[in-house]
Amino acid sequence: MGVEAWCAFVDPTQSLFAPAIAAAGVDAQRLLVVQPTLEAMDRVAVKLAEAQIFSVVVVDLVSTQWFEPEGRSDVSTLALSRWVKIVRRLSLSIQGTATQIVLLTDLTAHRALPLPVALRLELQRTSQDRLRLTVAKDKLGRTRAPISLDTTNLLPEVYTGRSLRGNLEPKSTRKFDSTLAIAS
Amino acid sequence: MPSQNSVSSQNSAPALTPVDQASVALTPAATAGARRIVAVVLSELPCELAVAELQPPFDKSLPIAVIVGAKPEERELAQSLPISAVNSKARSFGVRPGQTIAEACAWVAHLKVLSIAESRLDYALERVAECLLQFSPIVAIGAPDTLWLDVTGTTALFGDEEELVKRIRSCLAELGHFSRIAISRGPILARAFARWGSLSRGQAGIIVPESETLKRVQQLPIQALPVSADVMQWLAQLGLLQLADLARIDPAKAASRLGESASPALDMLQGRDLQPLTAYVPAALPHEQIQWDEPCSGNEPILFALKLITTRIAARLEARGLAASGLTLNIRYDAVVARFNETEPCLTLDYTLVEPLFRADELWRILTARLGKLRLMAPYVEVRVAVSGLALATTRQLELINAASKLNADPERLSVLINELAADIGNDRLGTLTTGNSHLPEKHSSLRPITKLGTAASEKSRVRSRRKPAPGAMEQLNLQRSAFSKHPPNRLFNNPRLLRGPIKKGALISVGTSLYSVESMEFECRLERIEWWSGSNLSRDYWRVGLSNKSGYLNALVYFNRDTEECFLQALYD
Repeated sequence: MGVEAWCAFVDPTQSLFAPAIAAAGVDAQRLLVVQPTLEAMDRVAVKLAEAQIFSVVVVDLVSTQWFEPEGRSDVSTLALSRWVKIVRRLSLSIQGTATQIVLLTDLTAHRALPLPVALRLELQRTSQDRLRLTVAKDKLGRTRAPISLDTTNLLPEVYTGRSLRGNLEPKSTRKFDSTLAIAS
Repeated sequence: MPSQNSVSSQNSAPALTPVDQASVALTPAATAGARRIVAVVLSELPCELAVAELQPPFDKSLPIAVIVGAKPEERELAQSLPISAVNSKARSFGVRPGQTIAEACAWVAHLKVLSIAESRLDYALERVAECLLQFSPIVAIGAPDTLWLDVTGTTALFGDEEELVKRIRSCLAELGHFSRIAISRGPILARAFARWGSLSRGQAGIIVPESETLKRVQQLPIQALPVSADVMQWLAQLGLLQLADLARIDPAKAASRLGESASPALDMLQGRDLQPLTAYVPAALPHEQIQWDEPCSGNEPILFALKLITTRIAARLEARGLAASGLTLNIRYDAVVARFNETEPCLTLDYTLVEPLFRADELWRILTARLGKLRLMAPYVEVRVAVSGLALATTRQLELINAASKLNADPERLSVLINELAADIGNDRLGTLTTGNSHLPEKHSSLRPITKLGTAASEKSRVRSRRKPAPGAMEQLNLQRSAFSKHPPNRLFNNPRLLRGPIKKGALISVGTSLYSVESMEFECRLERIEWWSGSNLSRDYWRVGLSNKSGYLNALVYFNRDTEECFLQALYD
């Protein structure tokens, strides 16, 4: 019945590891992985969003600090400041649709202005087995104190939403699930 | 030219024996009276083609006259040349084809006189003929401005003749052509009705029923007669202004006055038309091009040209029921500037499509995806798009459930998007990740290009698929065989980073732009003498290393090459 949904992952560093996707329970056959150059990254992200085909589009900006993406000719392409306009375009293109966009950014990266996103989650590993989750911004104002999560068995819990549903408002459960499942 | 019988035999699917053919010839349906021929007269085609070449675009509402086949050196001396075609505005001022430029300019002082090559006109007619193949398997070309379709027996596919005419007219309007259409029992009659028949407002074309053919023929003006200009002028001087006037003369006496074309003219007067049609056979791979007299620069003219070209190619593909599986875009530079800039005279871009496409807007999206970052080395004079591969066009049935949902995961839209991205960033840069059957992490993950998208599976194929291993089952099996099955890393370096110095607690490691110290080390696995069949013969010890700095912790995968005794950072867990 119907056509199954697709997700997309923009991976400019070509570093996404297939076994990790499979181990996380993501259907790799329904995950379109796009590996553009840094110059083409914003263009590709906007095209993916405007297509309104994907249920989730993940744009990975954080791995560029660890890995050397191909075609890296200009450092300014990495700057988050230029992504303010792009994020606005992305949000306009998915307005009123069922598509969600997850931007993975570096918490410590310099930015002149915060990105105009609806929901900002900050994940920080405080120790080998602890992860701190902070809801830094929520369009609906549902911010709260940081949550400390045990990472030893985090992934299965996050996918089923057991650990988060007790801490967050019911309305936001779906959004947090999808966001964390990919961000972690 | 093939005979009438040979044309009729092309319509019949099974081969007929001589006895059968004889019997068919005797039946009323096979007689000439049963033929239904559509004539499409593109009276303004030369004007439309000539205006399309102008840069910047010309105001089409101004009076235009076109000379077909004038040599470039004659353009300055064209005052005595006869005009081949005029647009409706010029016609309203009294300018007619056949007048010299000097005569025409006497009627309209601001008449714009243009010139096009005869080959261009022929090519345009062939292109339109190919588009009309969707309405009839037999389309014939009558230069300089007429196309014929044999719709005998095929009208019912489109409802009735009126509906057929509407659809033909709509198709031609999409291609940007003004047309006059008529249906009658033969090509000469149909063309005469299309060219000279009166068309009431709101009527798409002139449909002449079998029973009214003779009556309607005699209402035509004398110009409709297929005779030479001298004979026509003589008839007009006699006061014979309609075919009905000529029909009152004894045919035997009129024949001697009508000259060589007496036979078809007298046949026409009696409502007979047995002229056979020669079917047009299109080229295997269609192509379209637009040329400019003056070199252009910038992307706008290319985008404008591609819009027109893709519309034409889409119409031709749709007429054949085919789709393009590959496209080639050629941009021909101005030869002099290209030679001066020491660049190739022509820029060629090849597009391999993941899924065959045939709609104009989809083809346009694919072709323009790469133009944004294209650097043109010289001004250009021609844009040409050729279909390099053909496949059957398949369309999917719309699904009500998808139409109701906000998320439209239509495979057709997905295929267009993938084609567009492939044209933009390259076909090898998008796909789905798959796990490989190898112990080495770097060979354990690969990007598989999307070659064909799955369409909605039928119930039968779903039943079959239950017997087969589930999709991704082999990947799961490969994953279980892997040494990293419990906790695979999330990110893998394409080129592992060489780490200087021994790796132990407290050692410093740089990851990207940050410096980390080693907090913990946990042995992961050992790979002993693997890949010997490929000549590598690798031995590695893998360690899971916990790193920390002031911003937080990070888990990484490090391996020790036991042959070279070097350490490499290969993957990250966070």
